[in-house]
Amino acid sequence: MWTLIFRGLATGSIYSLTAMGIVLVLSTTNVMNFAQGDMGMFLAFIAFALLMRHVSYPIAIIAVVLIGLLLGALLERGLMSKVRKTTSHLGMLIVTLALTMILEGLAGYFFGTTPLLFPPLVQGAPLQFLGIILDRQDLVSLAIAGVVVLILFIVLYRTKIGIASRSLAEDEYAARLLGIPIKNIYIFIWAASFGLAGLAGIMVAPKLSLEPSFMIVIQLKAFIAAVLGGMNSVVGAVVGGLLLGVLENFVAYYIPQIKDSFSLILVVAVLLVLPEGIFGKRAARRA
Amino acid sequence: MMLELQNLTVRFGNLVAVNKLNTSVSEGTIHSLIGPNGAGKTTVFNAIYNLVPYTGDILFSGKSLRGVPTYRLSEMRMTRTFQNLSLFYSMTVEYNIALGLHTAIKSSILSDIAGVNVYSRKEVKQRVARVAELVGLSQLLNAYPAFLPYGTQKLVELARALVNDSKLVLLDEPAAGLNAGEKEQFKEILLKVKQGGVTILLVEHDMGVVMDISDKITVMNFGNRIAEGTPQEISENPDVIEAYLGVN
Repeated sequence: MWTLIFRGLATGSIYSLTAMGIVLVLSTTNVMNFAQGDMGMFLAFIAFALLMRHVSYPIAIIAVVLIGLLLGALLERGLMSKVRKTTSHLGMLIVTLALTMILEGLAGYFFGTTPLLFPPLVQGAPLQFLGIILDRQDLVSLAIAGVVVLILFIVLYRTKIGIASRSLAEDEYAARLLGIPIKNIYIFIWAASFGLAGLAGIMVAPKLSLEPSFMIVIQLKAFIAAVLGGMNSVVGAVVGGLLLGVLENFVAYYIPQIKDSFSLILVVAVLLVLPEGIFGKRAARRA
Repeated sequence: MMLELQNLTVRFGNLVAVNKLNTSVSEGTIHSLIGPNGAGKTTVFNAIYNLVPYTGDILFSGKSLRGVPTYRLSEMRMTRTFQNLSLFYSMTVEYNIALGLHTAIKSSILSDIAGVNVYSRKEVKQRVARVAELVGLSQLLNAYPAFLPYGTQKLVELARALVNDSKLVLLDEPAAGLNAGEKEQFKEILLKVKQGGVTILLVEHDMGVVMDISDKITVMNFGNRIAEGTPQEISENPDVIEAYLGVN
């Protein structure tokens, strides 16, 4: 059972990273970003290109995160900030859908559509600890996700820009009148979101084959994780992702017939019973 | 003068919400802007905050506010509260107040991550504690606003507006929704704030509050200024009685 939980947590950590990116953008800019998964896909291709040029894994990861931060900032300044002035939130949602197609098209153009084998993060036989089988790749994924979640929480809860971002997520009008420079916060949020996408892409790629559509399933699961945790809660995104990963693993083991449809059944059930998600209650108190 | 409105006009299509309004707010006074619903009072606040297009001019400490972005006003030490509460319910009272210092705190992400939470800095805590004491929130700094009475939440918003050593505070209907006891408390606090050298521009419907604490009152009706003077002068002005207080 503990092995199932461990594997579930490892998979869930990837859902969590992607869900965190979605929730960050949604809670501050009110845009449902359908391109979160494909942003990760695109960066995974860049990581692959670096690895093929014999760049070491740690350097490739750092480079991809930095490129992600830069692309996120450029995306906000070059596109989203302009679209925000001319269209509704629905229009912006469609822009993110278009971004999905653009990123998949670019990845296909530059890297081809033939599935590629992404080098594993670590190699070697699984470890055993107290009877639990620990896959090395899963261990590294969990460790990376843990560190990233920790850093993100320190930034959101301890730094000036993080606390300002949270205030913006709650009440943009009040935040603006308090002197919080909204434009800078939007840049920070999109940059962080793109960076998170890159990490998720690198962690997923070795488990699946690298191709332009390989993050679509992760994107869907991340949405479900975000709904489960609460669409306006970063804590909810983390917990929702981990919970979904563990539940999925148990279902796949005990009731494999509904493995593929389980997460969709779950999201419908959550929307019926707990529409605000596990951590989404505070928003309801806003008056 | 702390604030001067010169021929301030705000139009929404064919509707003139504020029509060539001229008035000035003296330093260290409580100046109230009153009038029936739709008189244009909140629109004046929104013009001062550059949230609506206007003609004429608005001078703050002698400097025109034309083209000054909203987020810069806090840096210039002008702050405001809202008709409807705008608190951050996921944060404690202390953080809600400290957010009023956003423009005053200098920091970088790296220094924050490496060091101490910006809002736990001694200087920030001292400034929050000082203003919390002024408005009577010292014992509630760790509470979450959602669990506090409405009147206390209004005080949190006031404290947030005051914490950055504001020169001018715009209060939009601060007494709305308060019970009689809370109103008395609010009046005392506003008078203490004024004694501390802060200028207050007040939009308020409660005539008891306005008459008790104002140094000067401007009365608006349908976007026009119909009277201006001390509470005594306003209460005796026949135009005001007719347009605003009603005719017996």
